[in-house]
This record gives sequence, C-alpha cells and structure tokens, in this order.
Amino acid sequence: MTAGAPTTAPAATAAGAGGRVLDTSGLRIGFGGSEVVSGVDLRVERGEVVGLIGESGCGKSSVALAAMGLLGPGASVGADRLEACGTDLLSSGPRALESLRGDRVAMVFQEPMTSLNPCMRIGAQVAEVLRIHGRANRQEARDRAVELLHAVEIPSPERRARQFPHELSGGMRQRVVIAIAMAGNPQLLLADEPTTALDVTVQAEILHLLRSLQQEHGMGMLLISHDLGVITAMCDRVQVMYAGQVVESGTTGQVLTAPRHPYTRALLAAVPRMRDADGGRLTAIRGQLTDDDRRRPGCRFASRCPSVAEACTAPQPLREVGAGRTSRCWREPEKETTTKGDGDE
Amino acid sequence: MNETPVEVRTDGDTRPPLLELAGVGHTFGHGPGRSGVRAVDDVSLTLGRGETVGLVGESGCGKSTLGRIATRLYRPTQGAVRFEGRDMTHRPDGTDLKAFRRAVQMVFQDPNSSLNPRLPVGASIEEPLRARRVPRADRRDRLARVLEEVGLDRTAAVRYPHEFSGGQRQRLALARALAPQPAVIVLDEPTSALDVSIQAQILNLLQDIQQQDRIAYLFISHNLGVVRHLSSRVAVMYLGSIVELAPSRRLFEAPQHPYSRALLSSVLEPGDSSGTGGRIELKGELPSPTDVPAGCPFSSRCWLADDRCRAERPALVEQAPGHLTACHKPGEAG
Repeated sequence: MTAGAPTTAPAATAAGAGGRVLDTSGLRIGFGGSEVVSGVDLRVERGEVVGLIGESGCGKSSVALAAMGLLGPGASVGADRLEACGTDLLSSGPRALESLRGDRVAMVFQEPMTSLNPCMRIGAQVAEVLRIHGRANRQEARDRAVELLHAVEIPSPERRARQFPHELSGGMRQRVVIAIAMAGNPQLLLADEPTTALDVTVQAEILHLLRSLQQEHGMGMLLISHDLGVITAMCDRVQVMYAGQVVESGTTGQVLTAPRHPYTRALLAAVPRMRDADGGRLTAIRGQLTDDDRRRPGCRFASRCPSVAEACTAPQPLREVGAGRTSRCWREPEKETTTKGDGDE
Repeated sequence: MNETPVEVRTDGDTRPPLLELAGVGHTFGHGPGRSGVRAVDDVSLTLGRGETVGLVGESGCGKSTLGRIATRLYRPTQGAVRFEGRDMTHRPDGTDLKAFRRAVQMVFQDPNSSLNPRLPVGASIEEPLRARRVPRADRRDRLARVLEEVGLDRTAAVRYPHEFSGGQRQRLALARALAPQPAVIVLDEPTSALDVSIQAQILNLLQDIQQQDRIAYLFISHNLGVVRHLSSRVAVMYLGSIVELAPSRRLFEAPQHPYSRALLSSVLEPGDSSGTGGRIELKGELPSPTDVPAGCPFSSRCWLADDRCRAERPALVEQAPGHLTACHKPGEAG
C-alpha cells in the first residue's frame, strides 16, 4: 500500500495546519458529576508518535476515546477544538464519525480479544473493514485481507485467515487487530496500552511492527501507556498526565531524562530498573490520587508532592519552560524570551 | 539488598535449607491414555532463611505452578517438597504438615482473591489464626501488629474490602499472610496490578518486613526490573524448566543461557534510548506445553541450536559458583 492520502479524505489536507491529524484544545470530559479530563491540549502531526503517560485514573484513555468520538452518551465532552484528520468530532453526526473510524482514524486496544469477534474467521474480520468502507468488493477484500495479515508479519497468512481468534497466541491476535486498524490506511492510529497484556519478548516484536508501519505509512500515532520504557522506545514527544491534566510535555528525551515536573520526576524514580545495581529503597510516591485532588484549585499533585509549599495552593497554569517544553509547576521558571507577546518585564 | 549471605550448603551451615524443591514436577490432566500437560518438569530449587529468590519467565512457563507446588496448594506429581529437611509430599506427619501450612504463606496478584468481600478485613486477616485456635485476645494483638506492620491504621480492621484502594488491599493481603508468623511467603506477581507509584510503596514495604522478620520470599514476576530490585538469586524458567539460576547481579550482568539473554534484551527501560535496537529476536512462537521440543526445550527457537541440542536435553550444571545453566553452549555468542 502507498503512504499517499486516500482519495476519500480530501478534507484532511484542506483542514490546514500542515499534516495535523489530531488537534484538541481545552478538552474537558466528565462522567456524571465528576470531571476526569480538565482542559487537555494535544496535537499529533503526520509521521509523528506522541506518547501520553500516566497512571490509572489520570484520564489518558478518555482522551483517546474522545479522539475517536467513542465516548458514550453518559459522558459530557467539551472542547475549544476537537478535530481528527480535519473532521470536527464535536459537531459531526454518527454517520460522519462512522466513516472516519476504522478508515482515516483507527485504534488498537490493550486486550485483542475485546476487539476480535470470537465466532468469525480472522480473514473475514479484516475484510469486513474494507467492505464497510466501500474500499473493495468481496473477492478483492478477501485478497487484501491476506495481504494485510502478511504486512503485519503473520506467518502463512492464507492459512491463518481461515482460523478463529482462539487458535492464535496473544501476540498473533494483536497483530490481527493491527491488520484491521491498517486496513483503512489510517492517517491517525490511536494505540491504548497495545502491549500491556503481552510478554516482554512479544511486546518488543509488536512495538517494532507498530513503529515500522507508522514510518512506512507516515501515520500520526498517539500511544497511551503507563510503561515509561515503552514510551521511551516509541515516542517522539510525550505528554504526562496527572488527575485529568497535562503536567508536563516535551520531547521524549527531554521529559524522561531531564523531567521538569515533580510528578514526572517521582514517577521515574519509582521504577525499579533492571540495569541498576541491586539497590536500596525505591523512592515511592506517598499516598494516592483521591477525588479531592481533582477538585483542588491549586496543584493537583500537591498532596503527594515531596516538595510541596505554600505557593502550590494557587492555580497552576501549564507554563512554557523551554522550546516545546511545558510544566505545570510554579517552581519552573518561565521561558525568558517568548516569541509572541509584548516583551514586557 | 540482603545483607545476610545467601545460604548455600558450603558455608558451614549444616541445617537443611528452609524450603527445598527436589526435582518437582506437575502434570495436569494426565490419566489412563492421556499424557496431560507437563506444566513443571523436574525443578530443583532451595530457599534459605531470610532470602529472596526471584522466579521469572513468560506466560505459561510454569512459574505460578511452581509457586503453588512450593506452598503445597498443588501436590507435585514428581519429586518432593521439603521444609527444614522434612518431606511434605509423601505421607507427611500430620503435625509437620500443619506447621508447614502455617509457615509457608502466599500472596496473589489480585488481593481480592484473599479477602472476603462480605467480611470486615480484620476478620479475614484473623482467619488463619482462628483456624489454628489461637485465643481471641492473642488474635486481636496479632491483628493490630500486622496492620501496623503493613502501614495501615488499626481502625482499618472494621472496614470492608471495597472501602480500600488496590494498593491498600494488597497491604491487607500481605497482613493476612503475615498473621500466622510465616517463615516463607510465596509472592505471585504481587504488584503487577498496581500503578508504578503504588508498586514502589509495596516493594519498599516487602523489604522492610523482610529485614524485620527475616522472612524468605519466593518472588514470582514477569517484571525483570522488580525482580532485580528485590532478589538475591534469580531463576529463569522456560516451558516448565529452570534454564538458568544465578545470583541476581550475575544473571542480569552476564546471563549465560540464550533464552535469558533474549529475555533481558527485550526489556525496555525508561530513558534508555537504545529502545528495541539491541534486542535479540527469537524465531517462531512459544511452543505449546503439550508439545515440548525434544532435547533442549528452547532448541526450536534458539539461534545456537544444533543437532545435539535437538536430541539431548542439557542438565542444569554449575558454570561458576552458584551460577547454574541448562545449556550445551552457555555464554556462546552468535
């Protein structure tokens, strides 16, 4: 397949901002009375892998579901902007979202069995996507499905296409899910913990596959993970989330080797390393995230932060602390020279 | 992290090892006309007092089955489990087995499996003591002690499991294991369901408890970083067998078995930009445990395998003091 934009998506390039395939600003998501995402800005360009790091309950998966228009009626979604491949997700109806999903925007979840139909042959599940989006007739779809299984490095794809999901290992199933995701030649791939259920050797293979598909097709990719090792291996840029907010962003190298927010620093210090000499104690983060933290007007990490101070009770905006780097902590000096603005004191 | 030297049989300590697995194996579903699935095959491992032995391997390698054999939740279908030198497998003495059940405890990945959702957690923690007819007043004392030991307030005892977070529930499961004052705790993926920040709290707690009470841990995990952090010795399992057993530092710095090397090379660490670059790629998929390759179980995926490997099963032999490898070509590059 070619990396060129599919002809069915002329709006994608017309949407401007170069090859921006995901563009959200001020994204807020609530369930019932509680807000789980509080004003997240997130941009993914074509050909780039952006990582979203965070622990349970930080809202990272909700962000991905919102980007697919997959949050149910129980969720309230608001944003200044929420666009995927040039389509405004907030104003689009169900029809428009359906033609977007599985086509220009695709998603891979943690557990492949939740994405696969256990009663349907694998080849048919891949072909189905092509049929639904009107990309192929029955025979073409069948042939193309085998090609896609081959592209995700499934050995003897003709034979595998006739098998059912339960006949495959976990790693092979995830390859099938990736083949389904790639069927529409997407411009944006959302991968939510795609290797968390897999063993390390299989994880390494799947990540390698995702990276090479992403580069070959020039896709934009949003990779969501709690695993800082996975993020390091895969991402160009990262955003760290805590309690529904982005607390830090920058290039992967910057954020994971020279973190600027106390939460990122604490998270890195809490990881036991295989390559460390067997050492003393880990630096744990005290306490746990509570609902009160989310309602706090000041820094939401304050109750667990090792360097908490009086000033932390004031609202903390996301500050620009360097070129392309932000941190939501008052201790970080604001970048001295800003390109825009009046250049006042 | 363990100051106490690893108890090897050569250091003058004439006592038998605290816990010894001697050639144990477990075959599921075997019977007339059925060969069954050999989940663990001829594994020998000892655990010394106050020591932590890590058990690593991928899904289906038999590490959890081995943990359950060590606690005698499963009766091994081959070999023997010995506790302080006494056989616990073949018609053990009733009082011996009772003492063993008290002395060897287990903590699972999912803390909910050891806490009754309809009982206050204090009742769940006291249960192993009640089973041994410990007087009420002593039970109460012990409950307060273990809650304090795992870092919870004693008022927690009257609350129900759903009122606690995942990390707190794992503390409670640990308190329950500690209540009967065990000598060994088998920990089966105790932090795998927890967030990194909470995992660090639990790992620190495990270290503190070990230092205070000198409990031995058999620590089962797929997370090599966690295993390295906690263990003094590490065993690597593949398809039901130990392929390498070494002091932690040696295993992580100079693994000898090709499978250990492939496994370690797949681990991704934060901030390490080499990513998947230095990874050793294994060919093929993990064979089914019903169809273990002849000869070396790893021979079907090993890049060093030759005719001998495919015909003759390598024994686990000592390459260096305390460092055992089951390979015909240990440490060979390729």
